[in-house]
Amino acid sequence: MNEYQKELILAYHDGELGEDEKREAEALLAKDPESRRFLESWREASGRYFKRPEVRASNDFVSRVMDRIDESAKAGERTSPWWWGWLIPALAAASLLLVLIPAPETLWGAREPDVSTDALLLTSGGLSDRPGWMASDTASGAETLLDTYLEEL
Amino acid sequence: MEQAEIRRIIEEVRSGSTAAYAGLVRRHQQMVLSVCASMLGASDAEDAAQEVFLKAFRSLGKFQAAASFSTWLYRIATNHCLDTLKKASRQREESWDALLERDGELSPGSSPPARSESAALEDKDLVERILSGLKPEYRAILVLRELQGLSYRELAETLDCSIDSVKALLRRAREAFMAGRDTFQEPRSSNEVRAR
Repeated sequence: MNEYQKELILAYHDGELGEDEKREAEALLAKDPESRRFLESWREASGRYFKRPEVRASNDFVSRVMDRIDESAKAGERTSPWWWGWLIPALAAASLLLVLIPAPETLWGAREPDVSTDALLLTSGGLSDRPGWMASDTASGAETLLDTYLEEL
Repeated sequence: MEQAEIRRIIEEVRSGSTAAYAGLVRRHQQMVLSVCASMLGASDAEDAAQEVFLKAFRSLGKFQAAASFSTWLYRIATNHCLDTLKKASRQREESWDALLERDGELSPGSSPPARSESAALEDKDLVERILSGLKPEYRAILVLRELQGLSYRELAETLDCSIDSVKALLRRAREAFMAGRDTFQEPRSSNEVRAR
């Protein structure tokens, strides 16, 4: 007997076949003694060995289950306040917003100021310490400052 | 209890009436207990059944009203028992390894029971012993089919597989069971012959 035939015979035993398959199984049983032995062997084993275990739930089974559910609910309340369930999703959403939303400068097209080496030199030295002098952030402004300073000298 | 009544209770529980769940437990306790006893043995059955009802309560939000509550509960019970068996199997392996490491080798007394011991086994014990030697998946499908009488469709829903898989799994499980029976009955027959 092949696997298909065994499954067919077992499904026949279990009453799980449609009309066509049932006829196929009966035809096989009629012509094949091995399939008959296979069916008989399982029929005998099934009837002999498989009996529901005789267990009965204790009288307080239901109340013990309900007590455990209550305890579990109380433990849940103790360990997690009402807002706990919202905390993690809220933090996740906030992190996502931080990553996705661009910085305001990027949004409005603002640019980093252009600062030349000259300007840096001038504004970081003694020049900017003089009263009335203002630091400039562009090269052309720095040149103007330098000219004015030289004139004063 | 009709399906409509079961659905009404489920809705009550979902809307906050925990006490209504007691009706579902009362209605299904014997069924769940029976599955647990067949899978794990009578001594562990009640604790396991409690766990099953606790898990079912926690997952009640996922239960779909169109499904059968019994089948859904069978699935939770079966999965719980399979998990328990797998854990126990891992622990046995670990303790077996520890024993081997400590003693260097197994002492004769620590080996599995000799075949001749099975001669005195009654059919019930024999079945328990054969089932306990089978793969957990085989044990589960035999218990659900032979003891709980689930149809192939219910088995497919409970075990989350196709009907064809159910047929194949049942065949393999039954063949394994018969092979186990032949193994355990062999010494009994030889003892009987010797006694004559």
